[in-house]
Amino acid sequence: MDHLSLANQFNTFAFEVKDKCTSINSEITTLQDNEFFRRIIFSRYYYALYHKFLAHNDELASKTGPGLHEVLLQKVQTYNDPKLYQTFIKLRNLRIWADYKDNDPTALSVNLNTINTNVYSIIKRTTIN
Amino acid sequence: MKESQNTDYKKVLSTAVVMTAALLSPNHVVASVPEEQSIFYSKPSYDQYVNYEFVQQSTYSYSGIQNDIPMLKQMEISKLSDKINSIFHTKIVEHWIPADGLLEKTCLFIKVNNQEELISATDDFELDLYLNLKEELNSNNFFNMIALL
Repeated sequence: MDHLSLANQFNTFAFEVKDKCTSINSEITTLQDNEFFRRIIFSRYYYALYHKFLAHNDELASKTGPGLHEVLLQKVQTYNDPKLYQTFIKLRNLRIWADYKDNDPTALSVNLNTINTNVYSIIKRTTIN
Repeated sequence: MKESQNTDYKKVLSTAVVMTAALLSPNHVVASVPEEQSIFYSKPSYDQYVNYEFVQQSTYSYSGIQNDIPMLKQMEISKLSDKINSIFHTKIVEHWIPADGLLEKTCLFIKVNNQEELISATDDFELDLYLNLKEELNSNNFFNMIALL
Protein backbone atom coordinates (compact mmCIF):
# COMPACT_ATOMS: atom_id res chain seq x y z
CA MET A 1 0.00 0.00 0.00
CA ASP A 2 1.40 3.43 -0.91
CA HIS A 3 1.67 6.43 1.43
CA LEU A 4 -1.32 8.23 -0.04
CA SER A 5 -3.59 5.22 0.46
CA LEU A 6 -2.31 4.83 4.02
CA ALA A 7 -2.97 8.50 4.70
CA ASN A 8 -6.54 8.21 3.43
CA GLN A 9 -7.24 5.01 5.31
CA PHE A 10 -5.83 6.26 8.62
CA ASN A 11 -7.88 9.43 8.27
CA THR A 12 -11.06 7.49 7.45
CA PHE A 13 -10.47 5.06 10.31
CA ALA A 14 -9.92 7.87 12.84
CA PHE A 15 -13.02 9.67 11.60
CA GLU A 16 -15.15 6.54 11.90
CA VAL A 17 -13.92 5.78 15.43
CA LYS A 18 -14.61 9.39 16.38
CA ASP A 19 -18.21 9.15 15.20
CA LYS A 20 -18.94 5.64 16.39
CA CYS A 21 -21.16 4.72 19.31
CA THR A 22 -20.99 1.28 20.83
CA SER A 23 -21.83 -0.68 23.92
CA ILE A 24 -19.14 -0.68 26.58
CA ASN A 25 -19.92 -2.14 30.02
CA SER A 26 -23.57 -2.52 28.92
CA GLU A 27 -23.89 1.20 28.25
CA ILE A 28 -24.16 2.90 24.90
CA THR A 29 -21.07 5.05 24.75
CA THR A 30 -19.67 7.45 22.20
CA LEU A 31 -16.16 6.18 21.57
CA GLN A 32 -14.69 9.67 21.51
CA ASP A 33 -15.74 10.04 25.16
CA ASN A 34 -13.51 7.15 26.13
CA GLU A 35 -9.83 7.83 26.83
CA PHE A 36 -8.70 4.58 25.24
CA PHE A 37 -10.41 5.40 21.96
CA ARG A 38 -9.07 8.94 22.11
CA ARG A 39 -5.61 7.40 22.00
CA ILE A 40 -6.50 5.49 18.85
CA ILE A 41 -8.07 8.56 17.22
CA PHE A 42 -5.11 10.89 17.95
CA SER A 43 -2.61 8.30 16.82
CA ARG A 44 -4.39 7.50 13.54
CA TYR A 45 -4.88 11.17 12.69
CA TYR A 46 -1.18 11.78 13.24
CA TYR A 47 -0.21 8.88 10.97
CA ALA A 48 -2.67 10.10 8.35
CA LEU A 49 -0.66 13.35 8.25
CA TYR A 50 2.66 11.52 8.43
CA HIS A 51 1.90 9.41 5.37
CA LYS A 52 0.34 12.35 3.53
CA PHE A 53 3.62 14.28 3.85
CA LEU A 54 5.65 11.25 2.77
CA ALA A 55 3.35 10.80 -0.24
CA HIS A 56 4.33 14.26 -1.41
CA ASN A 57 8.05 14.01 -0.73
CA ASP A 58 9.97 11.26 -2.54
CA GLU A 59 13.22 12.02 -0.75
CA LEU A 60 11.68 11.53 2.71
CA ALA A 61 9.62 8.57 1.56
CA SER A 62 12.79 6.71 0.60
CA LYS A 63 14.13 6.99 4.16
CA THR A 64 13.30 4.77 7.10
CA GLY A 65 13.85 4.71 10.86
CA PRO A 66 12.49 6.38 13.97
CA GLY A 67 14.40 9.62 13.22
CA LEU A 68 12.12 10.21 10.26
CA HIS A 69 9.49 11.84 12.49
CA GLU A 70 11.98 14.52 13.50
CA VAL A 71 13.22 14.97 9.91
CA LEU A 72 9.63 15.35 8.79
CA LEU A 73 9.04 18.01 11.43
CA GLN A 74 12.02 20.00 10.14
CA LYS A 75 10.68 19.66 6.59
CA VAL A 76 7.16 20.80 7.52
CA GLN A 77 8.71 23.85 9.16
CA THR A 78 10.22 24.89 5.82
CA TYR A 79 6.87 24.83 3.99
CA ASN A 80 6.04 28.31 5.30
CA ASP A 81 2.46 27.22 5.94
CA PRO A 82 1.61 28.05 9.57
CA LYS A 83 -1.66 26.09 9.64
CA LEU A 84 0.03 22.99 8.28
CA TYR A 85 2.81 23.35 10.83
CA GLN A 86 0.37 23.98 13.69
CA THR A 87 -1.74 20.94 12.83
CA PHE A 88 1.31 18.71 12.52
CA ILE A 89 2.77 19.83 15.87
CA LYS A 90 -0.61 19.43 17.55
CA LEU A 91 -1.09 15.89 16.32
CA ARG A 92 2.53 14.97 17.02
CA ASN A 93 2.10 15.98 20.68
CA LEU A 94 -1.24 14.20 20.98
CA ARG A 95 0.19 11.04 19.38
CA ILE A 96 3.05 11.04 21.90
CA TRP A 97 0.54 11.39 24.73
CA ALA A 98 -1.51 8.57 23.22
CA ASP A 99 1.42 6.17 23.02
CA TYR A 100 3.49 7.06 26.06
CA LYS A 101 1.48 8.79 28.79
CA ASP A 102 -0.66 7.22 31.47
CA ASN A 103 -4.28 8.07 32.06
CA ASP A 104 -5.12 11.73 31.80
CA PRO A 105 -8.75 12.87 31.65
CA THR A 106 -7.76 16.22 30.10
CA ALA A 107 -7.53 14.38 26.78
CA LEU A 108 -11.31 14.25 26.78
CA SER A 109 -11.39 18.04 26.55
CA VAL A 110 -9.69 18.11 23.14
CA ASN A 111 -12.12 19.12 20.42
CA LEU A 112 -12.05 16.22 17.96
CA ASN A 113 -14.21 17.95 15.37
CA THR A 114 -11.60 20.69 15.04
CA ILE A 115 -8.84 18.12 14.66
CA ASN A 116 -10.85 16.23 12.08
CA THR A 117 -11.35 19.43 10.06
CA ASN A 118 -7.65 20.34 10.42
CA VAL A 119 -6.45 16.95 9.22
CA TYR A 120 -9.03 16.54 6.46
CA SER A 121 -8.13 19.92 4.97
CA ILE A 122 -4.56 18.64 4.58
CA ILE A 123 -5.50 15.14 3.39
CA LYS A 124 -7.60 16.47 0.53
CA ARG A 125 -4.83 18.74 -0.78
CA THR A 126 -3.35 17.80 -4.12
CA THR A 127 0.01 19.39 -3.34
CA ILE A 128 2.00 20.13 -0.23
CA ASN A 129 4.86 22.57 -0.39
CA MET B 1 56.65 18.65 81.01
CA LYS B 2 56.39 22.41 80.79
CA GLU B 3 57.99 22.41 77.32
CA SER B 4 55.54 19.70 76.13
CA GLN B 5 52.56 21.77 77.34
CA ASN B 6 53.93 24.78 75.52
CA THR B 7 54.19 22.75 72.26
CA ASP B 8 50.57 21.54 72.61
CA TYR B 9 49.40 25.09 73.24
CA LYS B 10 51.15 26.25 70.05
CA LYS B 11 49.52 23.42 68.05
CA VAL B 12 46.03 24.33 69.29
CA LEU B 13 46.63 28.01 68.64
CA SER B 14 47.88 27.47 65.08
CA THR B 15 44.93 25.17 64.29
CA ALA B 16 42.52 27.81 65.57
CA VAL B 17 44.18 30.51 63.47
CA VAL B 18 43.98 28.36 60.31
CA MET B 19 40.31 27.51 60.92
CA THR B 20 39.40 31.14 61.58
CA ALA B 21 41.20 32.23 58.43
CA ALA B 22 39.37 29.57 56.42
CA LEU B 23 35.98 30.65 57.76
CA LEU B 24 36.63 34.31 57.01
CA SER B 25 38.01 33.65 53.54
CA PRO B 26 35.91 35.03 50.64
CA ASN B 27 36.27 31.64 48.97
CA HIS B 28 34.37 30.12 51.85
CA VAL B 29 31.54 32.68 51.44
CA VAL B 30 30.97 31.72 47.77
CA ALA B 31 31.51 28.03 48.33
CA SER B 32 27.98 27.23 47.09
CA VAL B 33 28.58 29.03 43.77
CA PRO B 34 30.15 26.91 41.02
CA GLU B 35 33.85 27.71 40.74
CA GLU B 36 33.70 28.90 37.14
CA GLN B 37 31.01 31.45 38.12
CA SER B 38 32.88 32.79 41.09
CA ILE B 39 34.64 36.11 40.73
CA PHE B 40 37.22 34.78 43.19
CA TYR B 41 37.93 31.67 41.16
CA SER B 42 40.98 32.89 39.32
CA LYS B 43 42.80 35.88 40.61
CA PRO B 44 44.20 37.95 37.76
CA SER B 45 47.59 39.53 37.83
CA TYR B 46 47.63 43.19 38.91
CA ASP B 47 47.84 44.55 35.35
CA GLN B 48 45.23 42.25 33.78
CA TYR B 49 41.84 43.67 32.74
CA VAL B 50 38.96 41.63 34.07
CA ASN B 51 35.46 41.87 32.69
CA TYR B 52 33.12 41.19 35.57
CA GLU B 53 30.00 41.43 33.43
CA PHE B 54 29.72 37.65 33.39
CA VAL B 55 28.86 37.77 37.06
CA GLN B 56 25.17 38.45 37.14
CA GLN B 57 24.19 41.07 39.66
CA SER B 58 20.88 39.42 40.35
CA THR B 59 20.77 36.49 42.72
CA TYR B 60 18.15 34.89 40.43
CA SER B 61 20.63 32.66 38.61
CA TYR B 62 21.89 31.24 41.89
CA SER B 63 18.47 30.64 43.33
CA GLY B 64 16.70 27.32 43.37
CA ILE B 65 14.15 28.57 40.83
CA GLN B 66 16.56 28.12 37.91
CA ASN B 67 16.13 24.35 38.19
CA ASP B 68 12.47 24.39 39.12
CA ILE B 69 11.13 23.36 35.71
CA PRO B 70 7.42 23.21 36.68
CA MET B 71 7.67 26.71 38.17
CA LEU B 72 9.48 28.04 35.08
CA LYS B 73 6.82 26.49 32.83
CA GLN B 74 4.10 28.20 34.84
CA MET B 75 5.96 31.48 34.43
CA GLU B 76 6.17 30.98 30.64
CA ILE B 77 2.46 30.12 30.52
CA SER B 78 1.75 33.22 32.53
CA LYS B 79 3.72 35.33 30.03
CA LEU B 80 1.78 33.81 27.13
CA SER B 81 -1.45 34.38 29.04
CA ASP B 82 -0.60 38.07 29.49
CA LYS B 83 0.02 38.40 25.77
CA ILE B 84 -3.27 36.65 24.96
CA ASN B 85 -5.05 38.97 27.35
CA SER B 86 -3.51 42.06 25.73
CA ILE B 87 -4.45 40.93 22.19
CA PHE B 88 -7.71 39.02 22.58
CA HIS B 89 -8.91 40.40 25.93
CA THR B 90 -9.42 36.99 27.38
CA LYS B 91 -7.60 34.68 29.75
CA ILE B 92 -6.53 31.05 29.89
CA VAL B 93 -8.94 29.01 32.01
CA GLU B 94 -7.46 25.56 31.35
CA HIS B 95 -4.22 24.25 29.90
CA TRP B 96 -2.71 20.90 29.04
CA ILE B 97 0.74 19.75 27.93
CA PRO B 98 0.12 16.26 26.54
CA ALA B 99 3.74 15.47 25.66
CA ASP B 100 5.15 17.06 28.83
CA GLY B 101 8.65 15.76 29.49
CA LEU B 102 8.78 13.68 26.31
CA LEU B 103 9.79 16.30 23.76
CA GLU B 104 12.41 19.03 23.86
CA LYS B 105 9.68 21.60 23.18
CA THR B 106 6.00 20.86 23.42
CA CYS B 107 2.65 22.17 22.30
CA LEU B 108 0.64 24.05 24.90
CA PHE B 109 -3.06 23.30 24.64
CA ILE B 110 -5.26 25.98 26.15
CA LYS B 111 -8.89 26.85 26.69
CA VAL B 112 -9.73 30.52 27.01
CA ASN B 113 -12.58 32.18 28.82
CA ASN B 114 -14.92 32.99 25.91
CA GLN B 115 -13.49 30.48 23.45
CA GLU B 116 -16.69 29.68 21.51
CA GLU B 117 -17.38 33.35 21.01
CA LEU B 118 -13.85 34.01 19.73
CA ILE B 119 -13.96 30.99 17.43
CA SER B 120 -17.19 32.11 15.81
CA ALA B 121 -15.94 35.70 15.50
CA THR B 122 -12.82 34.79 13.49
CA ASP B 123 -11.96 32.58 10.51
CA ASP B 124 -9.43 30.56 12.47
CA PHE B 125 -8.94 31.65 16.06
CA GLU B 126 -6.44 28.86 16.74
CA LEU B 127 -4.22 30.01 13.88
CA ASP B 128 -4.58 33.65 14.97
CA LEU B 129 -3.38 32.63 18.41
CA TYR B 130 -0.27 31.00 16.98
CA LEU B 131 0.54 33.84 14.58
CA ASN B 132 0.15 36.45 17.30
CA LEU B 133 2.28 34.49 19.76
CA LYS B 134 4.86 33.28 17.24
CA GLU B 135 7.60 35.61 18.46
CA GLU B 136 7.01 34.66 22.09
CA LEU B 137 7.03 30.98 21.17
CA ASN B 138 10.28 31.34 19.22
CA SER B 139 11.99 32.69 22.31
CA ASN B 140 10.23 30.28 24.67
CA ASN B 141 12.26 27.55 26.36
CA PHE B 142 9.44 25.05 26.70
CA PHE B 143 6.75 25.58 24.07
CA ASN B 144 6.99 25.71 20.30
CA MET B 145 3.27 25.72 19.55
CA ILE B 146 -0.04 26.78 21.01
CA ALA B 147 -3.35 25.11 20.21
CA LEU B 148 -6.89 25.01 21.49
CA LEU B 149 -8.41 22.28 23.59
